[in-house]
Amino acid sequence: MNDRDDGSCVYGLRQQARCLAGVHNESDSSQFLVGTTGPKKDNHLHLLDFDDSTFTLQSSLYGHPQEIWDIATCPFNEHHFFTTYSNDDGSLGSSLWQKDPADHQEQTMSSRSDTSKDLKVLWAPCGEKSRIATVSDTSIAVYALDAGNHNVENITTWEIENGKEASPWSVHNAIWSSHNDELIATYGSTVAGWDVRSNKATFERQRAHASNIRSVDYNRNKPHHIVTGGDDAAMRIWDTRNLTSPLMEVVNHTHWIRSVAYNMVHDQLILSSGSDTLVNLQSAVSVSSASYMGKTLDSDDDESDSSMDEPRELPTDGLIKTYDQHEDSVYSVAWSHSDIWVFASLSYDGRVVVNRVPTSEKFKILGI
Amino acid sequence: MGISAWVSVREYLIRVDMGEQLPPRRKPRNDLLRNYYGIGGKASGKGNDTSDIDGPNFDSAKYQNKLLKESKLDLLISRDNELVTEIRELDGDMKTLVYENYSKFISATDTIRKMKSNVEDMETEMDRLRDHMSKVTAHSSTIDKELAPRRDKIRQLDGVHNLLKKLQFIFELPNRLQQCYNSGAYPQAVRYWARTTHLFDHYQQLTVFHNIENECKDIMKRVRQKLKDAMHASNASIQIITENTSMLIQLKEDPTSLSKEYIALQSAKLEDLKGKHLVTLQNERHNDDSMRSFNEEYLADLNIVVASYQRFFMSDGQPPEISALGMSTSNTSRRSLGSASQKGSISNQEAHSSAHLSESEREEANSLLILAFSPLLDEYLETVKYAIRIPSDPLGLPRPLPQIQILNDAYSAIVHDSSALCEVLLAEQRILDIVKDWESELLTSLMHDAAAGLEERFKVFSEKVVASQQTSANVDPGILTTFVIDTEEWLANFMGMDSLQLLAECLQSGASFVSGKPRKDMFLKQIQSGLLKHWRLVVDSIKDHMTNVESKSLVHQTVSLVASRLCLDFAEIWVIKTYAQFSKELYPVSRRSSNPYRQEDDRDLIVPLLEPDVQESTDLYREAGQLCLISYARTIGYMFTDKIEGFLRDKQWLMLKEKDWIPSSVSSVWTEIASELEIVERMVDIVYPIDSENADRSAESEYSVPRTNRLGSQSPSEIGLSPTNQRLGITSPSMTSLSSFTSAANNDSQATNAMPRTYGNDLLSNISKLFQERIEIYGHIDPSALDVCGALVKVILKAYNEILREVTLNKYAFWQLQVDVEYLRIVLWKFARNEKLLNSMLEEICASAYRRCTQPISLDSSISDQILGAYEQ
Repeated sequence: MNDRDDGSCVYGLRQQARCLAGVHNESDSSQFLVGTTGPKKDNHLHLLDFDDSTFTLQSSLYGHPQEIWDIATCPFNEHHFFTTYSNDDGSLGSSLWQKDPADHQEQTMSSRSDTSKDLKVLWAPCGEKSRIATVSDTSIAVYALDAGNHNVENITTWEIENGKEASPWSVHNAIWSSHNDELIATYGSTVAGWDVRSNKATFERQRAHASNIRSVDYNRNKPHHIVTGGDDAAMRIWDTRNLTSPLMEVVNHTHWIRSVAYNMVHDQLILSSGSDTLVNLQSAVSVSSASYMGKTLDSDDDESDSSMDEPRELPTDGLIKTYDQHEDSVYSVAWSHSDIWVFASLSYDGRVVVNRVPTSEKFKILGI
Repeated sequence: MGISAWVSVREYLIRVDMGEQLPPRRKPRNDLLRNYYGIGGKASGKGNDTSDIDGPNFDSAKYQNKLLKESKLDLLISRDNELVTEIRELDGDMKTLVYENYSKFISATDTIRKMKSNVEDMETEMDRLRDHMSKVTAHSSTIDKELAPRRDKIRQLDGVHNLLKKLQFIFELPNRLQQCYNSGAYPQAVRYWARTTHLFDHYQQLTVFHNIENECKDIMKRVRQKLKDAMHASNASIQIITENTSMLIQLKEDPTSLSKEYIALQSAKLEDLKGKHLVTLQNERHNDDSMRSFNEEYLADLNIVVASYQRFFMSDGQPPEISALGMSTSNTSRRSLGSASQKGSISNQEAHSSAHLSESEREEANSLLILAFSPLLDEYLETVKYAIRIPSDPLGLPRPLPQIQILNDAYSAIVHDSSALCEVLLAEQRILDIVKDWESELLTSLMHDAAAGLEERFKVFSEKVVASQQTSANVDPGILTTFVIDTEEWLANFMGMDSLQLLAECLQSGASFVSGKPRKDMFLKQIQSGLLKHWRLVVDSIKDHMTNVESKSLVHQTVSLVASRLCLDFAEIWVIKTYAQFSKELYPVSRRSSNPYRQEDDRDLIVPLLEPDVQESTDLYREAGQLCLISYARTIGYMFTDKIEGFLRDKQWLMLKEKDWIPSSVSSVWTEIASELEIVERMVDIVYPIDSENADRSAESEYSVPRTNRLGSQSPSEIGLSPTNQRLGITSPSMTSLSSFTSAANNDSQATNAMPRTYGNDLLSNISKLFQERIEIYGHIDPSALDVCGALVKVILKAYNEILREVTLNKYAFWQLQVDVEYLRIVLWKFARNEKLLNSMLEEICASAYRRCTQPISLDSSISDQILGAYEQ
């Protein structure tokens, strides 16, 4: 942990864990929520607080007896989040929780709403009312939360029909895109989109990968651009308006890809993690929003001065770095919501590793 | 010791005798002697060594002193003796020389005496001769004087005669012209007129001539009209038009309008001619004769028309022929008159007819020419192109290709016989372009045939596989092997024999468009790039086919497996063989003489020029082969994954609840997978047999096959393809086993496979993991059943572990799982390449299951033993 530049910060949960989510907090430190999975009712929710200045992780532990399969943090309120867990009878349920905003240390959580048979819950990233979507094996239901977050009202449901998938299929993953209010789901080897406003399917690409697609993410800066990761160890970037062939294919894993994540600001940075225990940080400048900018790079950074005389290294496509600090399958990887250069990855053995984008790459992107 | 030495010694001795210096007069004498014997120059160059007795600078005194000082008495005596003998010898020599010179001197005196007496006679004779000559001179001068006045008169008379003759010609001219006009001998008339026009100009002031001139002009006007009429007559031939135009030019017709008229008439004629030929050409396709006559008549005419035009309207300034028109040089004019009687050939006419145009007018004429005739040439070239186009099946054409003949005719007709077209319309460049296009078209057509043929074969093969699949789950191995052998042989023969032969024939046809180094090189280069394109096309066609076949089907699997074998075989054998054949046939380079007792390695035959291509193609195929093989293994792996996932997520299995339930058998999914693995093993074994089994047989077959005609032909009846390297004796790097993972060296904590063990010992397993090497699940796969199955085992177990972690097990499910794992341990053992790896992966599955189980209670091992006992047979 001494190396402040490209070092990483490791935290052990002492329990198996699968899910990790970045908290949309307002403070400077990066917060992540991690939920453990153990069938023996002794699970915990860890709130990890990464302090960039001291390069340390502080954790707060919350009891959560049921094993946690997924966590969805609210994009508007840092204290709200959903967990998806298995009930005693083996069915899956989700609950909305609220951390007490007054006292950080107090472990108060309250279950607000309850649905059943969920694989995961999605927060609508946009819109006036708080909306959520619950993802089950064959459908995605969209609900509106009332003001007190006590009740939900079903707005619409996307019943996914797929007669063409040969093998038995179920929804593996889904994401709610802020562009066009669109739900994107992957099932079998198919990726498909659904417009929440018009209740209509927007696109469908069968056999987007050679086998199951277990991860998907959308580009925050570039509408219609999504990334998928599949059992064929390939990561593919698609433009959903033209799905005949992927914009880019990256193969640098050697087993299933379990998680992919676009950087929130610099969408040329894509994280992927898989059951080959690797976390890869990939640069895909040519198909990112940065490709529009040509030579003048990100202008939202005040430091980038106007003198363009000095020739400097431009970011290029390719693998930036492989992080091999995990020894088990890495099921989850997430970017921090407060520091765009920080990300965390979680392997099944309960190891959380917080890393930063290598400084050299960062400078390249910023054009310093 | 030479003469000079002798002289020196002589002098020395004299000096020794007399004890005084040489008299000075001797020096010139010595020089004379030296000169006479030609040693003067040489001696002076010999250096200044005073002790050299033969040297010119020999200093006898010094020598003597030196001798006296340095030598002992006996040495001196012997030296003295030596010198005495040498001197004696030289004396003798000199005497002989003196005698010889003396006799020469005597004979010289005799000769001089004789000459003296003869010269005395000659002087008197000479005097007499001189007298006679002066007399002759006097006589001749008197005769000359007397004849002089008459000679002048004759000269005058001759001049008058000439003038009268010319005048007579002029006076007779109207009659002659009329006569010519009447008899239709227009060229003659034109020629007369052309000769006289400038005379009329000259004698304008003499009224006598006016009448004649007017009369002549009148006749010539009619002649002109006649000529024009003749030109415009519908049956006027190209030659007539050309001749008449030539005459009109001589009659000073306006060149600009004439040129336009000429172009209009000639192009109409050529159109007609072309139309006629095209009809015949279309009626009898690929008829050499009609094409040739088209060349001879149409192209030749076009050339003549253009050439004449060039001469008429585009020659620059004053060609020397113009002076021939004048009356003054009667000599040439007489010759032209004489030749006029022969019905003038075009070349003859051309020689003296050209309009005088200014620079700008010439340019305009040139542009008119190009405008008018380049479409005609275009059409000709189009016709040629049409005639030489390559049909879809070039190998089915009669040999030698009729196109070669046509192209050759056209090429030589243009390049050798149509200089005017080449000059004005760049015909040579264009025909060269056509040649180039044709060559590349030929190649493309061949390559496409190959790709199409391959695709067809794949299609048929797929259908066969589908058909055989319907009757039994297993694909008949015979189909696979015959397909691989047939296809390889067909494709190799297509390229190596048939296509190559065709190309070699083209190259060696002696056609002018492929003879000569630059054109030949051009063709070879085209062939080279065509061949490279061919390999790519074939690979693409294989890949295309794989994407076209519905994936996840058995057909897809079979096709990709077979395709991988095809590609790898190409990488190892056929590419090299084909290039060797090409090198042999097309690049006749003197090769290293090969040992007749050793089989020539194909690689040795390849010319260095093609080496990079070979490397590129080989790599291409090797890569494609590996890709197909991986695709094969992956597809099967995905199917297994789906199966395992479907099974593990099955609620019924996870919700087993009966109180006294104990596992009674292995889950069906695993038995299915095991049997499918066996099928895979068999399939791969068919396509990639293991070396040791077939080594003997293939070696036998290799020697029994004569290497002469077909490329490495092999009896298709042989079941099971022999391994690549065996068949061709090529050591292939890809065949050497390249294990994708090394054994987990330090993994000693999990060596035993006793089932009931302490699970969840996280620390221990984590530590062991630290030392364990990372397992690459999707990696490189060697073309062997062992490696393919080994890779599949890894995929199966990894998928099992991954999905297991997403479900929750109860006690009964955990029991069942224990039975399943033990079963897998037994079944997969023979497929796993690495037992340690298998065990550690199974351990990991057990550990995962233990963690995912609510009540992890081990099953009594006797139960599992009992169940597994049934399977072990």
